[in-house]
Amino acid sequence: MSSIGSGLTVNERETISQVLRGNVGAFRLLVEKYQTSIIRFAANLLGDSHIGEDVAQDVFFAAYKKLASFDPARSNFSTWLFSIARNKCINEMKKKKVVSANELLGKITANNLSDGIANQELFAELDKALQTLPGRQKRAFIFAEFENLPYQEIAQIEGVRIGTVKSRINRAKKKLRAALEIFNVETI
Amino acid sequence: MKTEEILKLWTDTKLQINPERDFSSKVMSRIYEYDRQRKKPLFDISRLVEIATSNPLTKAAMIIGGAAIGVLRIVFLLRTFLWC
Repeated sequence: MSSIGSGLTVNERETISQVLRGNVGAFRLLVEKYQTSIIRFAANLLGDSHIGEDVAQDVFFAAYKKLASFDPARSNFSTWLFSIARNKCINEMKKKKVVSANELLGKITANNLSDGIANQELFAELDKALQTLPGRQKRAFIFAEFENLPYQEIAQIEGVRIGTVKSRINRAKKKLRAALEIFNVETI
Repeated sequence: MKTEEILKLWTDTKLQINPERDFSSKVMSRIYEYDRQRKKPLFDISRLVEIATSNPLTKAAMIIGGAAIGVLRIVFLLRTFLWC
């Protein structure tokens, strides 16, 4: 698959043109290409896979409605789609009941852990720690570590400089490592 | 186990979220329904009202248009009286 301009593939450009010309069914190709990434992003950011899928549906629906406004000269299609996902997730998080960081951290420290703690328990605590991160740090971390987006793309989605993105990711990692220290996990 | 190893394993588990099998079909059904609603006949009164009230510019244009017609009617009326 060849690439043009800002990273938009020829097939993607053709598919978008087809949709805009009235071939609505062609939009399914875009949905199928990006559904896993968008669902995973929303599910990890919101901490709930069912809500993540619902939000991902809204993302693709909004993308279809706004497709004519997508400008390939300004961004990749994936960047544009992730920007929509980011905004939808922020709105969803506002609706969701906010669980305070202290409440979750309290649960973490209250655990009486044995030396042979299972990975699943550590992962559960990391999940909790992820959900307690400030939204900006959490999004930057998820974009970089789970979605493997380059810093430049994350900066474009978030509307900040690359340095800010790096700093947010580092702070997020530091907090996640700190969450593991409670379990006497060996740090490097 | 070291922190970085645990974080790596955890990240791997987070990548394992997969969509429902009919996810794309659900999205497409919603899109087809939206398009079906959008393609309703233009001269449907409820649709005209919906268009006029949803877009501030259309709303403003309708108000200005109404006011202009009113002024023209008054001018026409005055002109008719003055000619009599």
